[in-house]
Amino acid sequence: MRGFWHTVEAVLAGSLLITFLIVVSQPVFSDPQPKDQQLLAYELLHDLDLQGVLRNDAFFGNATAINSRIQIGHSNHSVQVCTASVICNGTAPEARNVWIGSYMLAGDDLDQNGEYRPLEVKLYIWE
Amino acid sequence: MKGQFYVLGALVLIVILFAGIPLERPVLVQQSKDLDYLLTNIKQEFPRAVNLGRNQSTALSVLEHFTSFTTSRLAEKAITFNTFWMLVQNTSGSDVTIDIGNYLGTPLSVVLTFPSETQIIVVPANTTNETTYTVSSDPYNLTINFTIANKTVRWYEDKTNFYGYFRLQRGENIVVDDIEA
Repeated sequence: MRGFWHTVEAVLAGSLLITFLIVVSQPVFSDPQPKDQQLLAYELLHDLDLQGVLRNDAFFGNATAINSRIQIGHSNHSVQVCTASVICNGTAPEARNVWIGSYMLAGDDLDQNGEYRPLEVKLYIWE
Repeated sequence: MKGQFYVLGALVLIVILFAGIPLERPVLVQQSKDLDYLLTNIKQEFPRAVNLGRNQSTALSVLEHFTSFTTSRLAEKAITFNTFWMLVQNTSGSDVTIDIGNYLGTPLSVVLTFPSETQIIVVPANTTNETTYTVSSDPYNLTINFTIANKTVRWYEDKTNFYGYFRLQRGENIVVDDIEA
């Protein structure tokens, strides 16, 4: 009978050890905030587009004007307007935990050289 | 000696107890929301590209350029962009020019079923094919079948018409939609 209780004790000890190992090895769930910030950035750019103020500024590469129209609580933000050859107007932040929302524009008109010029507007958000 | 049997018995019981726990845990994949809004963005911009090009009589060139632009911009975000589109423009009288862009990554057999005839057009991967058709009625119904999708549209011969099928993929996350404009 005493042997039985020794076995039970050993099972409990082993179970505790394995349970501890399983708990420790659980995957870490990432905070969903980065995705939400990306979505926020897209929605802000989309709102500017709906207001009819995004395309013209983007066409002239005026990232500063676009950035000045954006208000986000306590977060910092900056805007870049990039061409197909990835020549960008505006500045990208040198910070940690930066979220980027991207908004593509088919273009408003041909440029002064008569060439088609699609654009990508990037909105950077960081703490 | 008896103690060793206890330990061995305990080990056997532990193995039995934990045998049901899978060794490999499923990888947790968070659904990428950005695919959804990027798809919405693309669906909105392709018709704009067509309109811009139509105004400059360069609709096909603009579409090809915008397809290439979108592909490269999305690749930067580790997203694979595949598209199939069809641009139909009136050239003269009842004649329409049909441009088919196949950017799905594989050669495609496109079956166009008009009220009076059926055309089968083979479009190699990452190319555009141009064909003409004389419309017998206006408006006309057209069924577009390109293996992975099937769409019936009702278009007017004197209007520029566009159909686009878009697919965005990052890892196991895939979003697909089509538009008609």
